[in-house]
Amino acid sequence: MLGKVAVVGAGMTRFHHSLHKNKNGRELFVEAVLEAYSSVDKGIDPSEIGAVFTGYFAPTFFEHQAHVGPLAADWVNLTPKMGWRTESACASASAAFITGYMAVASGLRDVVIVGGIEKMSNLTTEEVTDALSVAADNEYELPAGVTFPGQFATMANAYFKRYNVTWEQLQAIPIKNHRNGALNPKAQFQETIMDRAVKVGKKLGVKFKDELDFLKSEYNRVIAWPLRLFDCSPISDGASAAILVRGELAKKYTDTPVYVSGVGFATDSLSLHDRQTYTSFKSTMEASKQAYRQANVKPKDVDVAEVHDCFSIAEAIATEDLGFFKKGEGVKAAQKGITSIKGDKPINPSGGLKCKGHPVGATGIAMVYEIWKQLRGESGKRQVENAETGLIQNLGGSGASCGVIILRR
Amino acid sequence: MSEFLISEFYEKLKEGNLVGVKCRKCGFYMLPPRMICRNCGTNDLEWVESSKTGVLETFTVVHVPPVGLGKEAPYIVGIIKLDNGGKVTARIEGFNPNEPEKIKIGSKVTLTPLTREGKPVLAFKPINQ
Repeated sequence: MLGKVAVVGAGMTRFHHSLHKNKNGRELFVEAVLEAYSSVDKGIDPSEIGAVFTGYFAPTFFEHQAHVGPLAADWVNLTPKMGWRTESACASASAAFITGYMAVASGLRDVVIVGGIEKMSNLTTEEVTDALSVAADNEYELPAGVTFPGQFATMANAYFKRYNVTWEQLQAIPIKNHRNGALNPKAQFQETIMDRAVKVGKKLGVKFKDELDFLKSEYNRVIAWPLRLFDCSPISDGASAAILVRGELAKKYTDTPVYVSGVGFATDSLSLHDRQTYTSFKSTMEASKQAYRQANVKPKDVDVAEVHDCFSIAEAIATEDLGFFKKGEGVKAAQKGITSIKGDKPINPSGGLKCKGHPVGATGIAMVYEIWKQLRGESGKRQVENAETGLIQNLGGSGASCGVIILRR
Repeated sequence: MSEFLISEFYEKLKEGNLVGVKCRKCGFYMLPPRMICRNCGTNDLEWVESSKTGVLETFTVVHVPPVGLGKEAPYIVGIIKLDNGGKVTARIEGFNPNEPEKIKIGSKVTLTPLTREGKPVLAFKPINQ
């Protein structure tokens, strides 16, 4: 029998490509944890914490550092407490969260910290592309020259063909996410795509008539056809953290706890070619099924969601796999404004990975951070009204793993 | 039949042969090869020849490559469904990567393995009808 688990604190660094140049992963983690401590309404004594689980996808590549579990624990002064690093590519932080959830729900620990880190900016774009590509199958995919933008681009092509959707229509997703992220002080890019278009236009001496006009221009270069720069989440540095406690202890820390009402995590083949379809993720469908069942929540009950838009097409597919829209309708939903902050199904009010940034191993818990704030009504200009039930979907690689977490006020 | 190893799959590819594995118990066929039958879960498998022709299921043109492939970009990567079943990720030759609109999903293709630093790389080119 699982016990109730509450989130009583959360913190994250700003996500950025250059701001944290002179910091390393452990320093970013300390910053996130300190913010999580100070977010606990009635305060927390760190000696109460019984374990630290830290997601980090590729520290070996990015910082020539492994053994990050104890390192992270040590830098927040929590040795000799239990702790290790979890790795599931871009879903590393949801894996850390669910590890912490299991520790508390099982009764093994009363209070734990879960977090995530990625310090990517030490490497060049080519080196980052290489480091990320090892989340694909090294024997059967990488020899052909597979990259992550490339994996999602092959899915986009299959999706366009199957559902008769165009790249132009897909742009509704990054346009919406930049409008949201412009309102988020933690976001990497705090500007709309139109803001960027005006800036670039001034420099080049040209005028873009709207966002799409800019996105179709040469400035928005092709990364992996048909996906261009603004279809892709950026290279980012950052860390995130959350504090989980046994449900019965929640009121000791805050009068407005947020409860974990369901979790799910699922796996699939690393290789795209080993899957029956390229236009949906079995891992998302299975993980969300697990979480919905445990939470006794239906897709229509979700008031706000943070989903894994590592590439524009991934958001469209995620919103379908989670049951918010019918297959092939995800892009149309964004075009109609249904997924905007004031729409019926707000998706990625934080700006998503595209605009908020995507320090891979920190992302899952940064999603939790956003939903935790939303459910407590602390999201300022990007607040979704009356949000009581929130969901995060955190995809690993090209969908070989996926974590889904449902939070309720 | 030789022992099943991924390296054996590539050895055979070096000789121009594409091979999958078939489950001796239920007959399920898998390409690329793996060690346990995805259908019935047994590991009693044997090598079988794959057809060398198939269909381009989907693709991309990679413009930003990983380290080491800079000179090859832009290049086309796609998923091929072979005529006798099984699917592989492969390099696609014979199309102009700068004219992606002309690359058609559903094109018939045939095996044309490449070599990179002495190692075979799966590649296909269109069959001109």
